[in-house]
Amino acid sequence: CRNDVDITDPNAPSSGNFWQTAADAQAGVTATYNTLLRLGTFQRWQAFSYDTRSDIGTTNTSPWPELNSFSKFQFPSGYDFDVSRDTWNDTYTLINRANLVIANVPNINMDAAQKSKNVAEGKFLRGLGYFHLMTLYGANIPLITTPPTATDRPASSDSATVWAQIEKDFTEAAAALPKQLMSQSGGAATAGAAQGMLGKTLLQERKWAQASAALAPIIAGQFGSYSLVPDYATLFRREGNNGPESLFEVQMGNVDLCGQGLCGLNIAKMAGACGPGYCDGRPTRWYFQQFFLDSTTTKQVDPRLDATIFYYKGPSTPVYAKSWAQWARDDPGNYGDTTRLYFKKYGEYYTGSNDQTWEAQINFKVLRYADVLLMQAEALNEQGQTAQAIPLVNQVRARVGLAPLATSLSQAAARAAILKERLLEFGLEGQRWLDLGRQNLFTDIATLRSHDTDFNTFVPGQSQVLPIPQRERNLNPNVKQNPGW
Amino acid sequence: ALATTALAPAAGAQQPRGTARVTGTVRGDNGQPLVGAQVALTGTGYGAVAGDDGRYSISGVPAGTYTLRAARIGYTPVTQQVTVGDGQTLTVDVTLTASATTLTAVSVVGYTNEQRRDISGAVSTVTSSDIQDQKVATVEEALRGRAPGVQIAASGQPGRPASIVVRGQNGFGNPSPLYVVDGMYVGQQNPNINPDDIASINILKDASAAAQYGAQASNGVIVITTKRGANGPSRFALNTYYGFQQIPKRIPLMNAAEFQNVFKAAYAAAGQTPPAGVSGGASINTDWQDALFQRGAIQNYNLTASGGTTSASYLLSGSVLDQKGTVINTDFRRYSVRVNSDATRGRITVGEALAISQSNQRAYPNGIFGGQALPLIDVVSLLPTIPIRDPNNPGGWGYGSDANPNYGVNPVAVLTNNSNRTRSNQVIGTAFGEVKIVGNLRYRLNLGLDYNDLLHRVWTSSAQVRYLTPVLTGASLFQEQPNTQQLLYENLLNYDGTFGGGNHRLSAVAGQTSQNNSYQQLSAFRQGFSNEQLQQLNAGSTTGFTNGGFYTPFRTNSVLGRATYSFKDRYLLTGSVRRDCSSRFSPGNRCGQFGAGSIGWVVSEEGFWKGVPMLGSADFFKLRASTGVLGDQNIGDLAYFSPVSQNINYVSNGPSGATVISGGATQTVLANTDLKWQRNRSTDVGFDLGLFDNRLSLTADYYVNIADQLLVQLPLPGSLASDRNPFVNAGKVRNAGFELGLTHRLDRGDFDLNTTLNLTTTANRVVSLGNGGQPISSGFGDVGVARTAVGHPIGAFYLKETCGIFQTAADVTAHKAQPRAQPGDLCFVDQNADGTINDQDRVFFDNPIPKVTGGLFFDSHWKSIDLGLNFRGSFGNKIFNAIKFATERTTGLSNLRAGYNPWTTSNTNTSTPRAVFGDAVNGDPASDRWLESGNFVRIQNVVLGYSIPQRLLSSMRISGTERPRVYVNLQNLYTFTKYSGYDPEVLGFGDPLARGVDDGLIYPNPRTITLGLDVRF
Repeated sequence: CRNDVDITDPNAPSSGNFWQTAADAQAGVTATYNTLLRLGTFQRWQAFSYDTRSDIGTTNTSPWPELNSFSKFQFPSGYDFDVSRDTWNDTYTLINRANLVIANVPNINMDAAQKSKNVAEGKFLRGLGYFHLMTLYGANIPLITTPPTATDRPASSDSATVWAQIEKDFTEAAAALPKQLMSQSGGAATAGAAQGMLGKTLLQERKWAQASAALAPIIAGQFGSYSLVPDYATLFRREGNNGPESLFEVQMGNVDLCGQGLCGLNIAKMAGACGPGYCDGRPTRWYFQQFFLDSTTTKQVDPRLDATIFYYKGPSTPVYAKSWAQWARDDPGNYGDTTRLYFKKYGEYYTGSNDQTWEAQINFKVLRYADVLLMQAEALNEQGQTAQAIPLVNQVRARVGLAPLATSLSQAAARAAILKERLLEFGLEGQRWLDLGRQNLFTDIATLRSHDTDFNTFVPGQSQVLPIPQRERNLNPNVKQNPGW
Repeated sequence: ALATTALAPAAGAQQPRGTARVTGTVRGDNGQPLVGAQVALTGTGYGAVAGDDGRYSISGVPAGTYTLRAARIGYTPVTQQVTVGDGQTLTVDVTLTASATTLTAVSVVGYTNEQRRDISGAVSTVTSSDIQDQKVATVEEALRGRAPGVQIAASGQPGRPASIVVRGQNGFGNPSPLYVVDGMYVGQQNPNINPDDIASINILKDASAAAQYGAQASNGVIVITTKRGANGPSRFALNTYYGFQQIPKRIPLMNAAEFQNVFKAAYAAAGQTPPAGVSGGASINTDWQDALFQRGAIQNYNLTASGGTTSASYLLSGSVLDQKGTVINTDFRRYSVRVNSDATRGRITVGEALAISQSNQRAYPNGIFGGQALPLIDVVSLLPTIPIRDPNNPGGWGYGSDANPNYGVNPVAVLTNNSNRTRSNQVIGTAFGEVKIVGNLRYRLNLGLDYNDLLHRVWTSSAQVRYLTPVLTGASLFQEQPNTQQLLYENLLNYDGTFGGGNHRLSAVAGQTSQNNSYQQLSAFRQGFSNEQLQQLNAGSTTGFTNGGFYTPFRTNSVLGRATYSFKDRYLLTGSVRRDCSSRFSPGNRCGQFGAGSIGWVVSEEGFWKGVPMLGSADFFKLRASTGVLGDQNIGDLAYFSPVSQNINYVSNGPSGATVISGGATQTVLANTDLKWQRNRSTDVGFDLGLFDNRLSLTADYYVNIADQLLVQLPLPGSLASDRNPFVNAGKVRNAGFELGLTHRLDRGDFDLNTTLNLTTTANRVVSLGNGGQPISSGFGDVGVARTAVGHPIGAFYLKETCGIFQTAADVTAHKAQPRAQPGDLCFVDQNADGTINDQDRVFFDNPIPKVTGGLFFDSHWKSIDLGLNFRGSFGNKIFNAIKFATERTTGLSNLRAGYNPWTTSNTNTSTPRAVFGDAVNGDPASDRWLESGNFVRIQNVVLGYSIPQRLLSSMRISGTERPRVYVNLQNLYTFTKYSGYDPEVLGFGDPLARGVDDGLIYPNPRTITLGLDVRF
């Protein structure tokens, strides 16, 4: 009677027989893109960690105590609060899947062009992951660039090493990826996306000249003919998916695809208007007021306000399918107060529904051409080339009907103008926190407090970065906690 | 009831010779000859030992009248008057009734039957007579407190198996022992056996005893033997009881007005405006405990028929157990049928044991609405200002609101609208054939089957049960059908015999055993049920439906040998070897050798014994020592594989709105392809002592278990991004302790009293850990209040140490490390004196495991009345109390314990810090504020029975029955403890690395009162 103890897993391919074919390589890359659809990457928490934590937004009305405290830079129940924990875990999942691609695909016997593209996609996605970890948690993150073993406990890295790795990944990806628009790439990363993220990385490092050199060929059309779409508001609707302005966007699923791991964008449900959504995140009044400091050439309010924020414009102001007055009758607690402000961007308010679904199929814009223009303007201005910078800003202003700025502005005035343009252009797109850091605005804490009372509890030297999650620290003694936490 | 046997006196020196002879056969009550029974004419030196066929012969007896006493260890001795004349041969056949004492029972030590007397390893035995008076639903409940070295934590949830740990926790995985039922390996899950069917339970604790189970024995082995028929006319037994159950304790909580007053002050202290539910009037005052807890009921009916001839026997039994839980809408029902039979003809014996059962359990639904439902936390933390039902809410249930922002799940709603049901159809069967080859050598073929077909259904209605969690678009149904099949195949050669004039006794077994197990699982999920009355998969929508299935095989091949040898009943020797090969390990690491040996010396058999000072007066004294190595493969199937997960997809949104899905796959699990067996070295020394005609017996042991190459499911940091924690061989754990069992029998005419005391001490320490000695953090969410680290017990608490409450601003200044604290705040010890309090200030509290556990039993009879009283206790541990954490802080809005007495400037004489809403410091979970003493003494069982006298029966014209017994049984009558949670005993479930954490997931043990009737006829 034989009873063979030599058995193999009949349920799934195992590592021994995977990474053998071009199909395996593509599947591995697809599984890496899949991690972009997680709460901690692009599905939900971006809006909270980059926007409501900055001076344009707040969570201080959220009934969720930990989330309420989050925009006040406090963690009453510990450092494993969902935003910080999910962002950490999900981003490292992205990075580790990218590492598997980068480590395994080169050994596959397959078409060379496809191989080179797949590896480059891995590098682009890894660079994207580290860019977020670096700008949210700071340099104490461990830098993992090869698939780890179970006994590894990777140590904290340092700023220069991580930034260098991000630059390298984006540089190599840009060289190998196809020069396509998002509409041609099927949602995959392109050379323009990698080149643009390289520029963004260099800018964030305040390497102005290098950033400028990286961004210039994009504007020169060497990576494809990117352009600003005429109607700003459509960028953040479903019909704006994969338009000509996009260098990279995350392809969102919907409620029907959720069972296949392809859920949609949660930002409008979580941080949008009360009623249709939960309004856990809201704009600050200061941010709202910034839209009125300038007006269009036809003396209208900057149209980006109406694409970004719900605010009371009279009883008939539409909020989803109902008027403000109707909401005030149905939900006086929220709409009885006409000074209330709610985020509108990425919401499906135009569909005729009074409810916002959790899973909006609206692609999250990671990098768009307006950002490329404004980044290049900033890089040039910081190098003293203000006159060359201003026309780039004016391209972005012209789209929304604002009068051009004079090329004679001083460098300081231009710096302020570019920052303000970014403020109005990129609300809820995960940019403001980067701007504050890059332009050293955290050092002027009094100004930030005048924008947003949340900054009353901002501790300089500590609150710029999130605490490393406690679970990571419990399990990995080689990771240092950030200063002050 | 327990009985103790006096051993026959050693043959005297000079006896007068006569010419008469007394001869006969000594048999047990099941008809089998009793080898080694001692027959003596008391008060004389005449006596003999029964041979292999049970026959004895005492010759050279002078004529006269004597008291003949027949005794054998494991049986109640019998005396009778005999008169014999000169030259006469008198035949006296004696039947002895099996009894059990701590020293003398026959134990099924696995592959061999061994006399307790010959055992030199550590084995605890519980027999049916020990547990028959105690009416319990499961095997483990029957074992509670009975055996030294065995810790049992039971839960009050109907149908939930208890957690058993034998001699401390040897590893970091499931600490449950291996269960073997009538020779069938049923794994680490409690087999759902009807306690009325059990003849004996042997707990093999040390290496010597357990080694015959080699690779699966490292946590000890529980060998269950079911009852079999006996030679004689058919007999029937009816056992039935009915009882009520109740959760014995309520947590005293605040009413609505009291709760509002505290939180008004707490919000004011934080400078915040309270929500309307706190500031407004309190028209609602919900008592959630009243709504969730109910009076449960338990009833059991069991009918057994048994009988046989000298060549065949049978036992049939059927039973129904029906239990209604102490939490609403939880219940358990079990139907079981058993057929055990044997037949012998000539050299051949065949037999079988077959149990078929169905059980149905309804449990608390877990994982509802994005989080595990915590019934015992929700029930204390939900606000009294939230109604149970609220017609204004979608679905009609009450839950938190903007006015009452509390995120608990309404437990009444969950239990009413949703259900979590498991149906199990199980067959456990063994069959054997045995042939006497020559002399005492036998060949035996064993076949075993354990087949379990489960159906698990989780139905979730569409109603909303939690604040801000939306109503589902429809109800949902998750259904899974796991099917387990385990097959056993064994070929064994057995030898049992005596030689050399009975001086040498040898019991040996050698053979082969293999297991072929498979687990097949099918699962499906649908939502969108338009008609919630139709709760079947096909009634749901096909949008978003999912299904899945997998199959995991597990096989072992082993060869084993074991021999027990005794010389002159004095010198005992046992050795076991076993080689196991398991499919659970990678190809190079599959096979392992395990073995053990033990020696024993029955000193009291030595000629010099009587002359030993003090001890010489003892009737029986045996010294024992054993050592050996056992294995562990408790890692689940296919664990060393690093599978590639499929269906990790991505979508492409076309400009037109069309979507294209591409399929992805990658490795999502970090695995260890070099897994090896865990090896546990176990050493035991002990002695057995019988005093005063063996009325008092004492068994004592000291043991040391060292588990090496520990199989650890190592939690990985998030940066490694593994979806599952892989097993690694890491580290070493040492367990050591004393075990003491003391039994005393008092017999005064109509009155007898047996007293049994068990005490166990346990000391558990991690000696080394792999991976550079890095500690393993676990317990209570991600906070990690427990930590397994070198030099500390497994799952030691790892917390900040408090140092009272700051009374004045000067106290704060003097303390330095908490500059932002205010009077009334908790002080934390700045362990590293760095001037701040942070995670680096956590320290170990090494008391998650009781140092001493024990049981004290009194069983007495007086005429027709029997009374049993059973105490259990546990000492020396602390418990991390999640109920206290939920009800004694103001971090968020939750109800508070009645008498919650926070510090204020006018109320400084309190140990509770000030109440500030949103307070993270005083509410820090990682603080010793939440530790409480786990000491308790419990009146576990009180049973009072009355056996109806024969004359009463005859006056009622009832004949043909033994005396029926009626009884009342009170379980868990009272617990003496300072622990403020529901039950200090619910530890040990869930995470084996956080056994000191009472996380509020486990039902407390109920208080039960039952009335019962036992009839035999």
